[in-house]
Amino acid sequence: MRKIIATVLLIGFVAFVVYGVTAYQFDETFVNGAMICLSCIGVG
Amino acid sequence: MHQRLRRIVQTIALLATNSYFAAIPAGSFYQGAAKGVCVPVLNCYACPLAWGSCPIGALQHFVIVRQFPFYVLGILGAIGVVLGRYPCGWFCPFGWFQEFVHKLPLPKFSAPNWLRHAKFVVLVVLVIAVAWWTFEPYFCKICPAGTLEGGLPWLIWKARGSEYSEGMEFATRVFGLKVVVLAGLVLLMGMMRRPFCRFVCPLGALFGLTNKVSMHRLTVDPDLCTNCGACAKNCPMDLEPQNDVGSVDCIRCLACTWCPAIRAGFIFSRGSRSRERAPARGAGVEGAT
Repeated sequence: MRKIIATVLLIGFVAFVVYGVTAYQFDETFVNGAMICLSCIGVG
Repeated sequence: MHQRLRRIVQTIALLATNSYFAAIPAGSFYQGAAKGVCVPVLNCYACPLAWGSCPIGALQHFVIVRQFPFYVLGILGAIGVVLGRYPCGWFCPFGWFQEFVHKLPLPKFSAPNWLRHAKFVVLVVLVIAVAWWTFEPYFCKICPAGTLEGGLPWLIWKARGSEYSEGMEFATRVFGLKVVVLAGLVLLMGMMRRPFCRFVCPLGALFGLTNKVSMHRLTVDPDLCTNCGACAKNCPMDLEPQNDVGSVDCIRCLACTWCPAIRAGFIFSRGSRSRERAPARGAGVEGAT
């Protein structure tokens, strides 16, 4: 049973990644990550 | 054996996520396409040497821009379903740092178990709810990993006159708060094992949810376990592996697998007849290890 649940979940999460990439979320992450995160540094 | 291998893997992971050494002479930071990839560890994307993005920072960003984070949750979920919380124990640079600091000669103590639930509160309240309401990544503002990997290097970059740090003012309440939080946590790291992972880390909370269904798992052989408790003494998360081997708090460091009663493996591997439930207390042979 655990094998089935894990396999279905894995397929579901991979589908999330694929959908996220097609919805330009990779680009959104790239733009956000490539800026200086002032909050992370503590100056913004 | 496992622990020596883990140290090597942790060092490789540290270098793999933070090795943009071109930033050092230039006083700059990495801005290339790899920043679109969320690393499966708590690694600040403000670190000048970082190649990838922090998944918790990216998660807050998607909450703020009102998009369901398919991409971030997909990456974390897929890795979690295969490995569980394994990345916390083997890949996370901040986890490695905590283990390193814990070697300092300070008084050691533990903390109440119920505090472990706090990381789920941090995830739901600070990472999701507060970001939703305020449009600000408040977890990042106090994140000690951000201070260590982002704040302090940028303070040095500014002192070196980096053009990228123009306009950064470090004499702020937020930066002061970040430094105080990091200093307090470093003190705690010296006195207890992995306090950030156990009580605070929202990424650990997310990965922990997958521990129960992950393909990689630990099992206890009830025929071999004597309930001697030696595995609990070794556990960096202060767990009792013999009683709850699939705990959401287990970082899969495999420190307990020196005991032949506890095995690590994938659910698809052959010959695994061990069970995940624990044997009844006192069921084993007393005194045996």
